[in-house]
Formats: sequence, C-alpha cells, structure tokens
Amino acid sequence: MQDSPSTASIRAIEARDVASILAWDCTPQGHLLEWLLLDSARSVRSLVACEGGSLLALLPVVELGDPLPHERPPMFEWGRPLVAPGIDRERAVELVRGLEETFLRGQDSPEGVVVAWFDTQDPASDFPLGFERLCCWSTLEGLPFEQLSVSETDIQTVDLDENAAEFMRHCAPESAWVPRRSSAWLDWRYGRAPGGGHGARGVLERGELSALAVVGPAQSALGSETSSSTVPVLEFWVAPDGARAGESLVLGLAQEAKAQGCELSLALPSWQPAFDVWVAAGLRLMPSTLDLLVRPAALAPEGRASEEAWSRRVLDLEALRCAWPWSMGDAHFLGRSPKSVHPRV
Amino acid sequence: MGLVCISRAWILQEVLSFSSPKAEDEPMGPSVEITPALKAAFEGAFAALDSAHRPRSGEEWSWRTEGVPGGAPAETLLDSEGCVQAHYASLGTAVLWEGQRLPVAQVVDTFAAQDLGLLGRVRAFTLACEGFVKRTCLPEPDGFVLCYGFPVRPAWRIGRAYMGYSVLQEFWRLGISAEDAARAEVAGDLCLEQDADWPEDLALLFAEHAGKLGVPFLRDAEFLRWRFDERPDVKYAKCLLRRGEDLVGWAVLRVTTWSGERVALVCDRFCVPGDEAGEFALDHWLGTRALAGGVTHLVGASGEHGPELADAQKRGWRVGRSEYCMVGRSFDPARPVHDWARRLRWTLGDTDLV
Repeated sequence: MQDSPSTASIRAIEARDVASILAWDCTPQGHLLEWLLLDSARSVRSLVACEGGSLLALLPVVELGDPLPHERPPMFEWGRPLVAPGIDRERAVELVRGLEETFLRGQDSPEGVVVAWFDTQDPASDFPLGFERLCCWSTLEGLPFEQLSVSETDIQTVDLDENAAEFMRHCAPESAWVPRRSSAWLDWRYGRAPGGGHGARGVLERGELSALAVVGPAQSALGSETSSSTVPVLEFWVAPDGARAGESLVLGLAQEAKAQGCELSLALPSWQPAFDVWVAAGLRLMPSTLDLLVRPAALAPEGRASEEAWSRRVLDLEALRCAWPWSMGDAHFLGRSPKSVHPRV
Repeated sequence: MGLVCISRAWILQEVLSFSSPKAEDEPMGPSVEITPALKAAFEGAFAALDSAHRPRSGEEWSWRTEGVPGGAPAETLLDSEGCVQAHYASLGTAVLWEGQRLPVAQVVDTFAAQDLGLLGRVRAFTLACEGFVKRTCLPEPDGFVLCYGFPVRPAWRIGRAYMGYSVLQEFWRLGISAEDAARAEVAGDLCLEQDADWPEDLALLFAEHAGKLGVPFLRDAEFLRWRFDERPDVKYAKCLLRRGEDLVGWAVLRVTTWSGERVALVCDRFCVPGDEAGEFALDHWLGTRALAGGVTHLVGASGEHGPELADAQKRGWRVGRSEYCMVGRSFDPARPVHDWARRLRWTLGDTDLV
C-alpha cells in the first residue's frame, strides 16, 4: 500500500471492494467487474484509493494478452477512473492523478505500455498522464451484401484452444508487437466473458488452419457512427501464405452476418495485409468518436536527454504505430466515458 | 504530453547563433536568406535521406519563400563559423475555425546537419524549432495557432520526443480506376469549365460552406493561384464546376509518379457539401482528364474524419495505407491536438508533397 498525495492510500483492487464500487453511479454489473478486473487466472492490475475504510476511486486496468517475453514490455489498457459519489471535482482530480501516478511510477509499477480509448466527445476529459494520440479508432463497416458472391465457402467452427492460440502467434510477423495469445487467455477473454456468445471460425487448408476469426454477439457497433446491429470481428488472423483462405473467411463471415440480418464491423491497423482483404471485399473505413491513446514504456527523463531514453521512447512509439496489430479483442473498455468500465465482450 | 524541455544553458555551451531575428514591426515572411550554404546543406541532408531526391531549382526556392500568401518564416541555426547546423522552415496558411480565420503553418524543409552526431542533431534541430516557435507561434501576436507537417523520419522522431509533435491524422490514400471515375454522370444543369482563372467569388462560396466541413484550410483565389498556377516546373490541370452561372466546386489534378506508380493525383477538390451530383461531375472530370493524361488510376488523400471520406467510398473510392502521417503541435490550449485531429480537413494541396 502506498500513500497518495492526499491522505488516501492506494492499493490493488480486492474482491471485497466490488460491493462498494457497485453502489456508485454508472458502474457495471458485478459479474462483469469481477471477470474483467478480478479473474483468478489473471494478474490483478487495477488500483483503488481508500481512506478510513471507505473506497474513494478506482483505476480499472487490464493487461493485454499474456505477459510478453522479456524483450517486450507488457501492455495494459486503462479504463476511465471511477470516483465515489459525493467527492468534489478538485478532490476527484487529485485521487485520479494519484492512482495514475501510482500505476505508472509507484514502487510496484509494472513498466510497460499503457493504452486507452479516449472519447473525443466527452468535453470534460483530457488525455491521461503522459499519453499520446496513436490514431482514430476507425472501423471497417458497410459490407455490400448485394455484391456478395453466392459461392459456398468452407469456413468452419474452431475451438479456441492451444492450437488456435499457436496459430495466432504464428500469424504475427516476427517484428510485430503482439500481446501474446494463449489458450488460457482465449478461454478468459472469449470463453468465460459474461454474456457469452463468442465464436471462432476458421478456414483449413490441407488440414491446417490458414485463417481464423473470433466474432462476438451481435450488438450496436462499437464506437461507430452507424446504428445498425453489428457482429464484431474481434480477432482476424491469416497465415503468411493464406491470402486465399483469408478471402474465403471474409466471405464466409459476411454470409453468416447476412443470414442474421447484421452488418460486420472490425478494427485493425492498415499495415496489416488483412486490411486490404476487407477493403477489397467492399467494407468502408468509418471514423468513430474514439481515439486510441498510448503511453510508451519509457519516457525520457526530465532535464538532460539521454540517448538511450530518447531512442527507447521514440522507437517504442514507432513500433506501436506500425507493428502492434490491435483489434477489437484488445479493447476491453468503452473509451473514457462514464460507462467506460463496461467491458467490450 | 511528454514534452521535454532541454536546458538552454546546456545547449549554449556549444551553440551557436540564430540568423535573422524578426524585427518587432516586421510581418511574417521569409526571415532567412536562402544562401548557397543553406541550399547546399539542404540538398545534402535530403539526398542522404532519399536517393531519389532531386536538387531544388532557384525558381522553386523563390516560389517557396517569396509570395507565399501566409508568409514563409524560417529559422536557420548556424555555428560560430557560419555553417548551417539546422533549418526549420514553414509555409504560412490559414484555417477557418467556426468562421474565424486562424493562421497556421505547414512546417517544411526541416533538417539538421548530417555531420553532427545523434545528440548533436537533436540539439540543433530542437534549437531551430524553439527559435521558430518563439518568434512565430502563439502567444506571439497573430502567431501561428497550429504547426503541422508530414516530416521525414528523423525530424518526426526528434519532434515527437522533444518538441511536442503529435499524430494529427492518418493520411489515407483514396484510389479509384480512372475508367470508373470517368463513368460518373454529369447532370444536365452542371458545367465543367477547364483551366479557367480562379474567380474572386470562390472565397465567398468557400466561406459560406466551410463550417459544414469542420475546420478546413482556407481557399481563395490568391492561395490557389500561388499554389497551383505559379509553382514553377509543375503543371496542374484544374476545373471549375458551375451550376448555371453559380460556382459550386472545383478540382485540381496532377499526373505524376507517386510511391512508384504513375497516377493522376487529386491535388485539390471542393464541392458544396451535400451536392452529390456535383461530386459525381468532379469524379467524371478527374477520370476523363486522367485517361487523357495516359494514366489509369486516380489517387487522392484524406484524413480520418469528415463526411467526404464516407461519401467518396460510397462513390467507389477505396481507402489504403500511405507512407505518410500528418503530425502537428497546437499552440492554443483551448484547441488541443485531439480537437484539431477531429476537425481539420485538408487536401494534398495543403501539403508540399505534390
């Protein structure tokens, strides 16, 4: 436990805190909170501020994927901090700053990259400490159903097991900065997510997976400016030599979505080859109200610059821009809005 | 934001002198003399970065520094022997923010001398940038509210680490086959007027509709003449779109090699927002003109936001990645970077890439 700048103390969230948080306004359902922040199979990363036995504030944090090999710093996602009702704005700012500082610079701070989704339509909020804008959270939407080929595709249901996790790791370029997928992580993220409804689809070539997608239950499009019911594509992985399988998977997912009367929606950086596959299928790039923010692992120290710190920080940022294959599966919070602690399941 | 200030005292041990400080009553304009030494340093720096770099003509230097409607302030850092250590230049322009004209600058031609070590280049570049900012940007009276650009990687790295550069917008490539574009219909009440002079009432049309676009870069006859008619060594094709007598839009095209591909680049384009028939008519002219120029693909560019991106895709244009990224630094706390990122609307004509 560490002292914050005020009299409040800051510590990791515990199961006994959930009841207090649920009593606050705008908080998620308990089982969502417990799954997201307190799952026994995952490291607890979220912090709370308390004073005299009362819980005052929460900084929700999720680690992306499994811990990375030591050559890459871990990646975390922040949600919007929540503050107990009745705390004035000045005190709330102080508490939130204390939580953020403790996560980033406390003695138990896990040095790593932090990402956050920032709602640009929330006039009261500003970028959190040390964060920079990576890009707009644009989504690919608007499948042209009328142009869909009626030819049969050979997609099939796939288990999200170690074979699937190994395939995801195999698909990532060696230079990529990928939060590691494992069967345990897939089980937590998609198998045990409250509400369920996730499914995996794949295309096999010569008995081996060549393309794999995880889709979520139909919902209103995530951060999108459209309002139609949408099936989110949370993961989309194509083997380096699996371009045709990737196209087949796109077609199959589209046909399944059409059968449900839904759109498809996904997000991925344009440097990924799969981006062109989806655009070629006729999906359109649509901006959202969300910005994707990052805080690099190494910030140059104040004052005199060191070449090492400078290189590390700048190169971290560049690597994230062109080598982090983010997807909707890496997004657990709905931006930094009052409802932000709701997981994207 | 993680802007790190480097101690001036630390810097001054090794450096140097700024050239051409601005007099109090001097309007923003070319503030450095384009000397043979500066030209040589520029050519050396950019040739080292790009093997395809071609030396810049004297006429091009003049066009970039004289007669720029928004001025072309620059900062050159010299060592005690007068050798160029770093250069930080700009093309002044303006945006329309909710009807208010705000001066902004496109940062161009920035470099640090290649013979300096990494930290030496960082110091020199940072000092040149600091000098430029101090003299030309807010809170200076009428100072630039925003500086933006499409920097080469070394400048981007230093600017991001030390000078507060942020990602402003993605640079999406918009492409369509010239044949597909040429097939777009031209409604009977529309007229395409090729290679006419820019009319003075263009500014009124733009100002009337600019608010619907977000925060666009200013367009008027003076800017368009300077940008597309007066540039030496580059030929642009242009077209005015009229409905009856009324101007409703325009487009500018250049056939060139872009990212290794022979294409027709859409350098500028405007149509009254919501005028779908007008957009199709411009597509038709662009496609037809591209085919006449012997190229089969049209390429444009777009930022992340704005209805025009979605509208273009509905008309058959497809997005793709580019090698560029628009970065910037806001000097007005009331207009933070994420606000600019969401509102700013630009065309290739607002870049020095075409």
